[in-house]
Amino acid sequence: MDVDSIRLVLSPLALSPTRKTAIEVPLSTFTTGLALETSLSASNTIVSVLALSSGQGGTTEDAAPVAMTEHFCCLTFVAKERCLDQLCGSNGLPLTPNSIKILGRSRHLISLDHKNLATYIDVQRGKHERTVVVCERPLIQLAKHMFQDWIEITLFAKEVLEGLAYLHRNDVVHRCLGPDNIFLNNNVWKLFNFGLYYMTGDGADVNFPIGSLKYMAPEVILNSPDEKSSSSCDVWSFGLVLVEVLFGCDLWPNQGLRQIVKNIIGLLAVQDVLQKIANECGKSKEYAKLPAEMKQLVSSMLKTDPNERLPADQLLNLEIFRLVNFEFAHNRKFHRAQNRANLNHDALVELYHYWQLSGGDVYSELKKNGLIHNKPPILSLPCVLMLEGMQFGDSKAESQCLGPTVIPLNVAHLLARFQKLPVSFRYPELSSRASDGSESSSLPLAIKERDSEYQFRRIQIFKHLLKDAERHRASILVEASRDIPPLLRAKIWALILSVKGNYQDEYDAIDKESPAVTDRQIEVDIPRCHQYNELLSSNAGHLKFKRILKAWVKSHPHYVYWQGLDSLCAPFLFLNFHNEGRAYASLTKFIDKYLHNFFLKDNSAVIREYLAKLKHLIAFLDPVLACHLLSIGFSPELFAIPWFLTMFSHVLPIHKILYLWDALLLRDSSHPLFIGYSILQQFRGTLLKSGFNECILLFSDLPDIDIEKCVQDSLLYYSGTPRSITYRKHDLNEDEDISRFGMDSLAIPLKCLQDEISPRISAKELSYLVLKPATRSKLLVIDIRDQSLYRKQSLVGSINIPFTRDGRADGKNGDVASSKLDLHLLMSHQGKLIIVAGDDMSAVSMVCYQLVQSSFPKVCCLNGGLSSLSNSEILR
Amino acid sequence: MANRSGPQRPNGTAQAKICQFKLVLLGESAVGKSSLVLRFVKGQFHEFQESTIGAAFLTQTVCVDDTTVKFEIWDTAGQERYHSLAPMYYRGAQAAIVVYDVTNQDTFGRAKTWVKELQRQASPNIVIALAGNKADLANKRSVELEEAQAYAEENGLLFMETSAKTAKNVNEIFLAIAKKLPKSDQNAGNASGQGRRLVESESTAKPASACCSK
Repeated sequence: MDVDSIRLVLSPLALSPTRKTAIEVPLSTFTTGLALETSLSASNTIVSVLALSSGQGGTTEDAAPVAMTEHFCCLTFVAKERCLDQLCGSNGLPLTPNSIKILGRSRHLISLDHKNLATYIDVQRGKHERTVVVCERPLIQLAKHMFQDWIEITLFAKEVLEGLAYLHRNDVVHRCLGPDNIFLNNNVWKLFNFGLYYMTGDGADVNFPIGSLKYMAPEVILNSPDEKSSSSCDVWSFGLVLVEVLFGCDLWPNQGLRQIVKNIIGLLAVQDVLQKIANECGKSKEYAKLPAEMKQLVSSMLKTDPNERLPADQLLNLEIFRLVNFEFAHNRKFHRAQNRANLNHDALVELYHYWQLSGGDVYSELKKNGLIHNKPPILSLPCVLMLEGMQFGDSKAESQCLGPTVIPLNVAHLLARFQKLPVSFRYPELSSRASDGSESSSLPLAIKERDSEYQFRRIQIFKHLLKDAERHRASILVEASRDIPPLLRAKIWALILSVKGNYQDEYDAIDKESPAVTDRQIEVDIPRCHQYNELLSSNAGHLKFKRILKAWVKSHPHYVYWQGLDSLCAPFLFLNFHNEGRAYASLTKFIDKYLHNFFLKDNSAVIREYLAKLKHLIAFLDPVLACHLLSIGFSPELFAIPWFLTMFSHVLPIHKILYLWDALLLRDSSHPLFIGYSILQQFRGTLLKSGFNECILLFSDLPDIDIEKCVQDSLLYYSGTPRSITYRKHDLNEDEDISRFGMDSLAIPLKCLQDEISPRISAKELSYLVLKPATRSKLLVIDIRDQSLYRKQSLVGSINIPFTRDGRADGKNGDVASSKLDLHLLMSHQGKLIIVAGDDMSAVSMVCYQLVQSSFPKVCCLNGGLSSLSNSEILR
Repeated sequence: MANRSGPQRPNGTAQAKICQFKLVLLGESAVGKSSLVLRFVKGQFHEFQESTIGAAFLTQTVCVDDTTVKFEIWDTAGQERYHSLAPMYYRGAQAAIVVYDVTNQDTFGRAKTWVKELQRQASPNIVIALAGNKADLANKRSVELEEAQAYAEENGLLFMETSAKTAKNVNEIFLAIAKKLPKSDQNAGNASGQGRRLVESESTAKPASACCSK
């Protein structure tokens, strides 16, 4: 190492203008460096990896370098099993298994995104408390790297400290920082395995110790194992690593654990730890040559009192980091480096998603590598089993440790497949809309979601659109109506729901901690809400659940917590587990749009109106079913409250809610009524055969629903039903159709609504339908007024069947369809939209009832009677 | 005990009398109403039994002496806010189980108000049972057995401490109710279903049929 030349760069003098020209020569590589820089940023995405590897010519699997095909790896450990006496908590519920606790915390790690951290991509939970971690693949271990000079070491220190500072800002303590966990990936230093301490609840959930003894800070050794280590212990560990790098030596080699502990404790009595270590290693000469700034950095890290140690972010402000021209240093490094770069956080997650879709399975990889053994059950029998269930003699030694093995996962095959796809898949912005009708889009959703190539294409399209979401909003809605790729669902939902602005700050500003009256209710509901889901049943899940619910109640003082709000929250929390703010904002928007005023303290008017509308819809679309349900007294009040109050999230498992809401979110707030109707239709046969008890039993424990069919049916019914049929007074009614079709006139008293069997149609919408030739032929207006009135003025194309009350008085039904001729006449119109019009609404309602009883579908009545049409051009 | 296993089918002999009774479960949320019903009807117990919104309906049959008693059980939502729905379910009910959680004094207080409301507003000869659930957590109890017993006696209620988790006294409490219910001819063979009557008593459930159907 040419020490002097390095001193030149390191010393403050190097920054003076005269000196600067002296190092101008190496800077001439700056331009090429820039070019490389661009390719670096470009190759951070999967698409550019594809472009790069195809640029290399023949991309057979073997030819592609390892770094191009192995982007992530997996490792595994086993959590502590619960002792028998710890199975139940004080509320009688079983305690959460440690592996689930770990899973819940791990989502925070996955959300961390920093260039100097080896990204966590996925954490899975296996059998027997096993946890499998998938993370970015570490490439060159610190020990294997030769540092050229002190500039490079300073750069190294800077990058690691930046990684540490980011971790500490996010409340993560590495605790096992050592040379084994620092890697150089394509010229970027990365911390590896930094989340082990965090996700295991500061080591409480596992049986093995966390940390590499030699690098442990003195206070970590002195404190009891239960005490949480603070972030300053990482600073010590890295200080020690840095010393070893600076002196190019291995501290305390070949010493036993006992001796190492002694050595560390011994340091407590030392003033200048750095000097002491230098002496111990026989590196006094090198110590003397160290620049003062470097000494300052290392000594600030190796303070024996943790309170005196500077935190990582302050260390970065030290003199030494001002001396080095990092741009220069960085580019110099690139000059040497190959043209390769690391995938960024999102790209890694995306690539892993495809890997899984194309059959990648971490468990089979672990088995292949002998990390999971299939032990014959007879070998795991305990030697002694006590009556209370305690067991002895079942050796678990091997599984109680943390496996040091890191298994790389290869994506060469996957990338090769993607390369064969049309280029337009990769660059959706280049392709024209026309090519969209591919054959796979007609396949069932479950198949499309498992098809890696299809998902690749869809995800590229959405990623392109999401780049400028506001401008592409319309296209996103169109694409979303085809299907929504699960990987991007959380983002797309938030966009469809118009979650905008700085929702995170808004969320942060809400008081989620102060006790409130609803606390008990929320606390008893959360441990019962979608608990089959591992994330939602984890402790982290419960905490987030509680915060979001409390935040919603707190920020909506005119609303209250109704049981069911928890279920509504579950899908949003599940999707945005690491993004509480977005979960909260999405939930809020969702409730505003679909459940306006449902959470009022007295919501009975809102719910009763909703249920009355469902009843109307059943009568409108399926009169036979409506009459049957009516005759057995099976009213929506008895089964549909949890449906609509929670938008089906209380009665469906999460994966089905996601499908359902994918469709629901794209439509207005009347769509849920059609979904409810579609569910009834799926059980139509059973319902028609059954009496009250059988029907109510059927819905008390909702049977399996074909959700895709339900969604498709509901869309069909939705598009075939006039808009004003499903108008609700208590809806938010922001829709432009409201005024266009004059639906506000439909705001009639609840009593009328509940008494009538058929829905009302607004006069404006009727005029619209009559004027449109396409719909005019598909409707029939029955005018039930006296013949004289009908002759004076009537609606174009309407027929007159006068209604007389006398008929009913002597026990007969109303006049409608009582004569054979009329019935025959009406029969020929069956299937058309039948609008009963008259001036006496009670008479109209009776006629409607008659028609529904005679199994006429699509019967509705004209709101306000014919007089509301008086100025219309459709009168004759 | 012949009736221990709960569900008993009618033996099909000519003398067998079948009675149907409507039974409603009331009580604060998360005291274990749904769990009690699930244990009684299906013999199951779910640790994470989800909350009930609105109400759930289940049926179960037990044999008492020579009579087959069919319970039509309305399991209601516990949250105070759903209170306004409750009358719809207890109106016309012949029996009610008011449930509280032995580890939570507040739920016992809530149970008392339910009893009062039933005595005031339900059918006058309704059979009311008080169930102190979660008896398996007796070491964490905050409602003493004697306290609840005394209250039950004062108010003429059937009383048992139950555990849906261990099945303790679950079938027993339903059987005790079945025994206490009057099995007159009025109830016998009433195959049309009490549940339906419940709905009809609900004023809003009558549509236009009131005026023009025959």
